[in-house]
Amino acid sequence: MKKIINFFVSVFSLCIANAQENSYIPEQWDENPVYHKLESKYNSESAVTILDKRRIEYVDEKNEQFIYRTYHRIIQVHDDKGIETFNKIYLGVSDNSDIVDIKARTLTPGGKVKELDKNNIKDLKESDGNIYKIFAVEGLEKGSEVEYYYTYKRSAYYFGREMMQSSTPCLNASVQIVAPSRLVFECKSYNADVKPVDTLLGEKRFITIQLANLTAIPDGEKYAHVRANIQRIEFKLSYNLSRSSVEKVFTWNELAKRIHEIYTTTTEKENQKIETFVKENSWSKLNTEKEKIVTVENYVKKNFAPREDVNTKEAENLEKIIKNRVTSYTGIVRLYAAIFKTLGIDFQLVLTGDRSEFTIDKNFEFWNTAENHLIYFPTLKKFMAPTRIETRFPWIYHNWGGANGLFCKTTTIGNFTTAIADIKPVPLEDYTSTVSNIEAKVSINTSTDTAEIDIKQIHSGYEAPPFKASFTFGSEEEQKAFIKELVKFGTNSEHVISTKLENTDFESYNENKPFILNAKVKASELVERAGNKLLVKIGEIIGPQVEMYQDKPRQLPIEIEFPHILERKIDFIIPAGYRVKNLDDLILNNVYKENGEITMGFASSYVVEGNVVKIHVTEEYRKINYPISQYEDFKKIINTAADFNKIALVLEKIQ
Amino acid sequence: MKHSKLFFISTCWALSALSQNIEELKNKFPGTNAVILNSNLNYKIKVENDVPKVESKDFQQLLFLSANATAYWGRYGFSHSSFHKIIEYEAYTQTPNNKKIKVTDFKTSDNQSNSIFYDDVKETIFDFPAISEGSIGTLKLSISHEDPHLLSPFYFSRSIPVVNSELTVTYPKDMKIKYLLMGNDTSKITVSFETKKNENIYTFRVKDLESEKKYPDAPDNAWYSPHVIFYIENYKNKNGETINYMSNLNDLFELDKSFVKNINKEIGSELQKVIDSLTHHVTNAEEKARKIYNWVQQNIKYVAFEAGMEGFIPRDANLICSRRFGDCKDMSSILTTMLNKAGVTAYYTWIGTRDLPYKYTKVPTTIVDNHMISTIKLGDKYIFLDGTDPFCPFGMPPYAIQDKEALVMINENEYKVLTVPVMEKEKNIYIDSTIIELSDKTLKGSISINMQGYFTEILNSTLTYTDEKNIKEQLKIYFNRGSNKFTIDSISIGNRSDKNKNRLLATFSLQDYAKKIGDEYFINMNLLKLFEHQEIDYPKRKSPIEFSFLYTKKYITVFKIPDGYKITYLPKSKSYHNEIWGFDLTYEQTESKVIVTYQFNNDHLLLTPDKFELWNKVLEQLLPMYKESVSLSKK
Repeated sequence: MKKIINFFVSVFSLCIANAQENSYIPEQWDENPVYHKLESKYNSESAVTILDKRRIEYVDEKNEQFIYRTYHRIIQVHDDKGIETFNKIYLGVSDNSDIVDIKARTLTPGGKVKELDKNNIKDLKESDGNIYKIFAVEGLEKGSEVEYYYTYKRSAYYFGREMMQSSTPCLNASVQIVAPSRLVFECKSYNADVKPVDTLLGEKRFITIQLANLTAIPDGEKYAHVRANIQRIEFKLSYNLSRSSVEKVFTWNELAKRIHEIYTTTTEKENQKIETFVKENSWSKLNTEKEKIVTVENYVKKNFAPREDVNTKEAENLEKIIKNRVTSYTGIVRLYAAIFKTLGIDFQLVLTGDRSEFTIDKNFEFWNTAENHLIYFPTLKKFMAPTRIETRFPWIYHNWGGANGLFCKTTTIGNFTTAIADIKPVPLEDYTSTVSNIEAKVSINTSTDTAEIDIKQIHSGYEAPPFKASFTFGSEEEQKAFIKELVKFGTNSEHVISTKLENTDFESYNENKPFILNAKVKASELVERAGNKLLVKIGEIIGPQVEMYQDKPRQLPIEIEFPHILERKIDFIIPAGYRVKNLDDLILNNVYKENGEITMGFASSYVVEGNVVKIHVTEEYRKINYPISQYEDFKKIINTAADFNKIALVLEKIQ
Repeated sequence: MKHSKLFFISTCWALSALSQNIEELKNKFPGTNAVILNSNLNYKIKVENDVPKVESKDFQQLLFLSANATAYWGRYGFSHSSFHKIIEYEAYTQTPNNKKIKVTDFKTSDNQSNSIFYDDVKETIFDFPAISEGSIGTLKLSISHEDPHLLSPFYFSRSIPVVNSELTVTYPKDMKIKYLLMGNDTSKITVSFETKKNENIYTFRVKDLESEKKYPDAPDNAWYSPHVIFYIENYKNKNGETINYMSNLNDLFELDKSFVKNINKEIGSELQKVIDSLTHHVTNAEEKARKIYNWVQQNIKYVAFEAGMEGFIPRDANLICSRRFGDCKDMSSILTTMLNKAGVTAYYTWIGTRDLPYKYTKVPTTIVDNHMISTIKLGDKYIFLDGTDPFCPFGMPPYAIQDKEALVMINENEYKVLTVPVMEKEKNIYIDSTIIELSDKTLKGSISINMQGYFTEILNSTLTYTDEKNIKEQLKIYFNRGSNKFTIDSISIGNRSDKNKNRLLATFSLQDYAKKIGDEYFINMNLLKLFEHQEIDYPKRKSPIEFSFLYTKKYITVFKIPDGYKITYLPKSKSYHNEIWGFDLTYEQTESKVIVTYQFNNDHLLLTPDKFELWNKVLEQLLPMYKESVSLSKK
């Protein structure tokens, strides 16, 4: 996505060429800083942010527009943890940016001020490409305040996201967008109820958002998308009044058009290369559209490496892609698009957000959220994820579904083809197709107090990728270790007699053939003794379960990775000469219904047939999210599964 | 302080070979996706302007053996720094049909380690293009080694199999080079010596090495992986005089000494004030040392800037005092300065942490150490003070330097090599006592954990870096037992003023733990099941196991028999010991209680593979004991 926006910046910049030049607002701090006395409720915090002030200012210089980004922060540190968190400061900057101003100082509770020597500021470039100015804060002691601000100048961007919460509580936060009056920005807050204030002062337009008393980011909650729930501000440019006061810029339609251009425009030479490539692989001879999609996907995912951190122009050229087989995300999508076009397969490019972070908001045209690629096949009404080597049609990376996507619907006017935007949900596959099942036969060797287990672990749908990836890409050593872990999960034993694997390959994924691990195991750990009685820990067959027995008050709604079902069938063979004294312990039931239909639940039961106890367990989560109001019910279900895991059957000798 | 090893990014794999070799290699290394076909590192040492000058050429070939290689194994890389400068580099893939495709996109970033805030080690990564079964990825590097004191050891093994690995060292005839073969098994290394017109050449070669498996509890691979250490002992200058370079410990001392010669000439008023405030009215030397050490531990935070010579030269104590932060050398600088000023004899001291297996007496080169501390002399006793560890009790060395040799600078002309003591197991004590009683199927009870020595240090670190609101969750690692239905009702933490001793208390509930059938109860009193699933991967594992310290641990569980009930079955006591370790388990019954006690001792800092079988033997005896429950029924 970055690419798309960069392109627009250069086009856009041209139309401001004649704008009047102006200068940025320099940041200042108090020459004589005053120590802040905080309310006692903050005493137990390691550190408190007193001020978090951000300003994004658009400035015209010569024929270009730049951003001066200012960040000013004051933090009071209270203990060793606070000191060690804030005595090393990392200030994010961007590629090719110039630091305009940077200052930092320490104020001790006794009023001593120590300012940073700018010579001690170093540059740091991380492997993911992020660049920082870093320095250590001098003279910090308990109770001190760290204050710093910096302004850097960079090429302008027209979509901005400010995450407002951090690991410390914050007393006062603000974001200000300052721009020449002709530029009209729209601004939206998420997870926070604040309204931007828009004022015009001379030639400058100010949008200001104030937030007070922000809490620290909640941590440690299970089944939660923390990042998605952080208070944040997003802004985008919507009108350039010098061009038009009615024509909106950076709309979803504009993005769809751009996407269409980037991913489907090819040169004659590229077309020829693709035609030869398609021919060599005989894909057009395949019968159905689905066969073609599936075969192309399997071939490309096996032989090409899409890399998120590759961003050269070369990596987008189809001739080079076919030669090098290492390419960028844009390159791989271009490759699929060209192949499908050559094969005459109808498709739409789709961009999505990520449910664990940010999802597309139909009413706020914030392009940066549309950052993940899908290809939609309208005839089959199914999706494919071109950049993910571990998924196969129709399975996509689960967090990209279950939320809105931007569908680029092509339309042809005369001989000109373009695309228009359709924002609609990307549905995930039905809950019944993603399973994590267990089928087990358990018998007891009473002379050695060992359970002999024949167990099948079955995983399909959205559950399958980690298993298939491990057995496709892992070394022999890693595969062995993984099998050992899997077996241990359901038996608490490392004593494996034999194992058999099915459908470890990706080629079987399209048909949703489940990954199956079948193991024969001796588990001495499952049998305990008390005098002449045997305790068989039958519940351990379903493996350790997440528990929520002791939880702090819930802050975030419940999020499930994907709808799924866990069905376990356990046959327990009662050893000769014994009887089970507590079979009814096996019956547990906690099911939640909405409008008469189950949305989540755990239910276990049994029947006895001869000397076999047939145990049946169904656990299911049919939705991807549940409101916080259903938290107690959800917790009960999670804990019921954890309770089942602790069930032990008591066996007594028949006299 | 750090000696950067040139390393190759091990998580990224690649392979290549000649087609006739592929099947053979697949058989030799089953299940592998890539092998290092060749790894040749050639050092060339010259003497220019009377000083040694070192360059190396590195040639690496990876053979890809799997069709799945493309997406996953093509990424490769190398690191470099101001001491090991890259002069030239080149990478390309040779496809099975012999096409050469060059790598054009290299990305360089700062290599970040957890402990160092800033240094100048860089990492360059790239993707080998056009990988398929049988393609070969080649990387060529030329490196200038700016300081010939800092030549890195050469390791033969990698995370993927190595077919051919070779180190050559070419040097002038009138130079003396010393080498040492290190690691568990050096028998596979062949060494040859060749002499040419003006040069001598050492060649070290290994063929067909299995991939090296990493275990999380293993020490640094310097302890076991086969490697070569080589260094310049001496050489001749233009006048034909022999110049000692790293011929013995004296030369290393001369070098180390040069790093501290220009610091701490004067004490400024700020530092003097701190010293005065700490030692005012204190006459006892030990008391002064305790106070100064404690002040540095509490007030000077560990922040390491280690670019170039910053990695070797300590900063001035006055600067450190004013900044309130420093790295290990800085801590040594300020401690030594403050202590001497206060009248406690203190010395700059260099030391290798336990990450390094080398001894000054055997390897007198810069690779022997990676750390600096301060040593004081109280009477006849030497005490080692490490300012980087804020939780270390005075008088105990941090556990990471136990049993290591320390190079103590007595004065400009004199040094001593002292060995840091190993703290006895009687000093590191952990006693965990649980009292439980029945309330229907729920166990209710209390836990008290008493700690001494290094256990306290670890606890204090956890307490310091945990927010108050998360403390209960964080301390669960100490208290959790029985099942994940364990819930803490209350906790209390002992006084933290004594760094050597502390106590944790908790009350808890454990629902559904007891089994109740009719009038009978079954309770498994092995709430912790220590060492379950900790059998060593024997005989496969070749790397040793590292323990932080020696210890004594005792676990006592007291069960109050409910009124009206009697014990109908009590498991038997058992003890088992061999020369490696063992356990003592006792079940005792009194009128109203059942008491179970486990005791374990650890006598090892390093457990070598020859001891693994006996280690596992103890577990064979111990683990079945965990299957036994106590049963009770109505009187």
